[in-house]
Amino acid sequence: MLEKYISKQNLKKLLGRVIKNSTLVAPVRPYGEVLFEDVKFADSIVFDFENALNSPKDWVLLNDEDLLETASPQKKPLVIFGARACDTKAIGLLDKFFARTFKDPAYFKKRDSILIITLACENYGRNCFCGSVDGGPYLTDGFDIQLTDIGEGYFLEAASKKAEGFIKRYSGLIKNTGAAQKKLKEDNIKNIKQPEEARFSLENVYKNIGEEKAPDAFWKDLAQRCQSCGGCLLICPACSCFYVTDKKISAKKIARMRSLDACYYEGFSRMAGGYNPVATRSLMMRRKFYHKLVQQLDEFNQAGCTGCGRCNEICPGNVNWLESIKRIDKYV
Amino acid sequence: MKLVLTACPYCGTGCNLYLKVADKRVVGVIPSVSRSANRGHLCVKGWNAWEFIHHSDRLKSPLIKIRGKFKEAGWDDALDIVARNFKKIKKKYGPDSLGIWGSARCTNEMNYLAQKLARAVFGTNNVDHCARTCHSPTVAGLVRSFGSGAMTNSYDEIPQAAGIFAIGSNAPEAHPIIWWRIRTAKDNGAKIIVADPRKTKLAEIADIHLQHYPGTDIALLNALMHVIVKADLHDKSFIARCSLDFEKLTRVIEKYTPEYAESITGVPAGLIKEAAFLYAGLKPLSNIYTLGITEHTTGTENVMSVANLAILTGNVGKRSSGVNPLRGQNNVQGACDMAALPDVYPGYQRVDNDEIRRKFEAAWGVPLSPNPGLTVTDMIIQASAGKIKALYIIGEDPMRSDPNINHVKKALENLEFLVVQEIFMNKTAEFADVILPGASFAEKDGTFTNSERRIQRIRKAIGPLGKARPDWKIVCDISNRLGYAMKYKNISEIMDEVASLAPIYGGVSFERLEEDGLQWPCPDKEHPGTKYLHENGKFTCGLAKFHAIKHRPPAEECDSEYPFILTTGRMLFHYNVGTMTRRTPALNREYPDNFVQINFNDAARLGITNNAACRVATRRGGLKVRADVTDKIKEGVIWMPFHFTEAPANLLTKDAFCPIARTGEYKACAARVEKC
Repeated sequence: MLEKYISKQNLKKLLGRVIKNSTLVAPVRPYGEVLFEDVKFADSIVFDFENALNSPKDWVLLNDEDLLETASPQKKPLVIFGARACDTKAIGLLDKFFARTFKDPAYFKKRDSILIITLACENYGRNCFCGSVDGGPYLTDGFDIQLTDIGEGYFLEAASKKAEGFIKRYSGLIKNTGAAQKKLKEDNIKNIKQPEEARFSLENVYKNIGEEKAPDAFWKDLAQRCQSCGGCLLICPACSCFYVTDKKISAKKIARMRSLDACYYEGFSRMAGGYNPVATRSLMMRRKFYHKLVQQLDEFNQAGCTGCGRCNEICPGNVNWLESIKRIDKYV
Repeated sequence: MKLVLTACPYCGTGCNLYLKVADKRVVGVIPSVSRSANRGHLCVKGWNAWEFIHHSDRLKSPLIKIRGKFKEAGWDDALDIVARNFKKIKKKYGPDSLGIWGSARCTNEMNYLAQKLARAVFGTNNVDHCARTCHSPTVAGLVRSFGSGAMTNSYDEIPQAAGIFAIGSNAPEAHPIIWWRIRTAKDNGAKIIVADPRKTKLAEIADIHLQHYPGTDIALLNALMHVIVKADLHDKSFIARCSLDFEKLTRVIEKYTPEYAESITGVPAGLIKEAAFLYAGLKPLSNIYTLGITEHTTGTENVMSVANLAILTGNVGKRSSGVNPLRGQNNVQGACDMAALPDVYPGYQRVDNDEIRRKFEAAWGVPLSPNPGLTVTDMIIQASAGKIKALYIIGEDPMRSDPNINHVKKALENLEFLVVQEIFMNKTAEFADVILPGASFAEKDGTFTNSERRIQRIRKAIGPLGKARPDWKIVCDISNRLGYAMKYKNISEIMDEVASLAPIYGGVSFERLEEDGLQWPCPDKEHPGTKYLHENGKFTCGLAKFHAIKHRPPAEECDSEYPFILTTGRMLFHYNVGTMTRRTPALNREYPDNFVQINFNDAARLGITNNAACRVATRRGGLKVRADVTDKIKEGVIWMPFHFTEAPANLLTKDAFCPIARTGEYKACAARVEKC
């Protein structure tokens, strides 16, 4: 782990230099809301925000990907600046998922040339619950570069080879650091208090879901609310389920596509003959909770949810993922 | 990747969403959180609204029919043929032999120009659009009851209602993000009364579900009013202060006792009484309705009945209290506002009002016809009769969306010249002489107006595909070739022109729409827009009017040969005739084919099992579809969606129309069902 310091002024300069030789993705506010976008001018980057509406997963995993495209990997490296701990940790989960049986070439062709600069949070946002799922607000590992605001500048940590190379490249703007600044960083992190509303015991939830403690009425209520929009899955930075199809691109071209899927769609598990082992909304919702809060913990020692809270913002059934988990936590 | 903020191209809710653009392709969607139309929410169609844009079926070139086959052509050739033919036919048969169909899917700017082309250039008021197939009874009915025909409240007022009365509305499937507000109202403790022939998701959470037969809305509503008046629960001071003709109403509802209504509607008298008492005690109460009541031969009267009920109980002109028709298409409200309608100019100003017409003649520099024109319904009828010779149809597919499509086929075959402007080839376009490729919502700037009267920006995310052009430019090109100059440097100038002529849009301009759109009426540049209409009981027409309305059955009633009531409608995963949703894999995968909903007992009697093939036939035609055997529909009633072009439900429906609004009776005709 490399530990450095960068002033706020120098960070802006650094980002300006990155734009010249890489594609820079950063938070901007083009229509009054914070979004991640490719950025052309460092001046448009915002630094004070909770989280962007979209997650940086968009640059790592597309809705539709041509699996057989034999184009060479990105000529221009990609730098993502401003990812929060939850989003970075979610991409880490995707990295594990796409390497679980074999290293997925289409995924890693893109992923290997992406460097992520994580911006640690200073407080909990309105929908956030990262602390309950070990998704943040600060990462101890699993990142390239992490910046923690300590006033005039950021305490900078580099935890990967890619990051070390990056630091060397911009060493003119990055300074050495010392014990005083490190203490400031530790204090700032200690001061982030998780609100009571965001608190639950993941261990308890894991047990209660595994032992099916939540009654039928609980699932029935959620099932009645769910509008099967798929939004919670399409916006989730940790979701990766996909299906593979052949898509007609033009009169002469058909492409083998990997397309992101959503497990709240009936077609997700319907079999060719029409039978569906997970046909009801109730079963679909149980499946999602099980997958994210039991199965992925078993397999990757990491929940399939990093507490970013976006799914709460977008649900038109008022399902509220966080509240539902808290209710499961309470069942004995 | 960049994100462009625009509005959803599907329903009238008008959700704001960002299109993700990478390498000149639209690759995904996320919702806007700050915009009030949807506050961060989208339905399944909205989330997948990006996928049809680049479909390989997109029309990318003008097409000209040569010896029965379509050949690609350049724009100049295609537009020359269009102009030449309209000129020739106008000269030979007169201006009223021509007609233009605007589009509820296209921008306000395009619709304004389309009706200007019809009126100032063709010289006819034969301009209309697909609002005719759904909500024109709303416009006609509420104009008569209140003076203006639009949703009276804003979406965000719904969660604070103490009561919601929903009749003929399947909001969970047709307006999911308005359903979100109804859901929230319920979570806040509101009481919900639902009147619907089917047990929809909305009916599932209702405190009272009145499951009436299709086509019996008047009897039901009159009975509710009968109980309320007899129990002295009507709002006497509101009625005295703000309405006319109350005695006309009381005279007519006298005979609609709950028992009499039960004999017509099939709803138990006791339940009608309970619903009436519950309704009368809930304030503020939001009345919500859609096509379940408008798509009938009594459509306009059904709407006026709902208005009657609202005036009776003072449930209009207040926050969270009003009459709320949920508009269907992304810009049907706008297309009506822009007057792609035969009897009004933009802003609902009548063409046969001399003073108004003089204003438009001065603005457009030409004399204008004082005679209201034909609706799309009547343009089809008159095309068969040989009076309409040429049509310019933009973004509509009557061969799939009009009732009794065989009669549409005859009409289109009889035309001398047909131009169709579309993004995909469809059944109507197959009859065209010239097909012009339009740009999708992602490929152009402009504005849409949503159901709560909110005018919102759509923004161009990518360039038009192939040789496709933005629709407003195509209309200008045709106009210019016909000798009437339409030279707008940019699209915002068109809205400026609209603002100068239509008082309800008076204060609208592109800059003022940037933050969160504007809700009309917005009469001037300082006005902030209007959240709810008819405030303090001051109706657009002065005093609200009661109307005496009697029950009349649907045009085609059941008999021994055709014993079922066939009613048609929509599902969540598909949209209208499926042009876009059938080309979206995630949506089409959910429901890839047509089906008919039939009650358990009826199915058992006929030997039909779930998912088995059966034959549904009416006097117009027959379809083989699979059966969805369920308890969600009453015995004697069957339901079919109209989304599947290869098994089109409108092959079966009847071309019977509301005499006032000319809307088809999609919701009731007589059918029989047989096991295959």
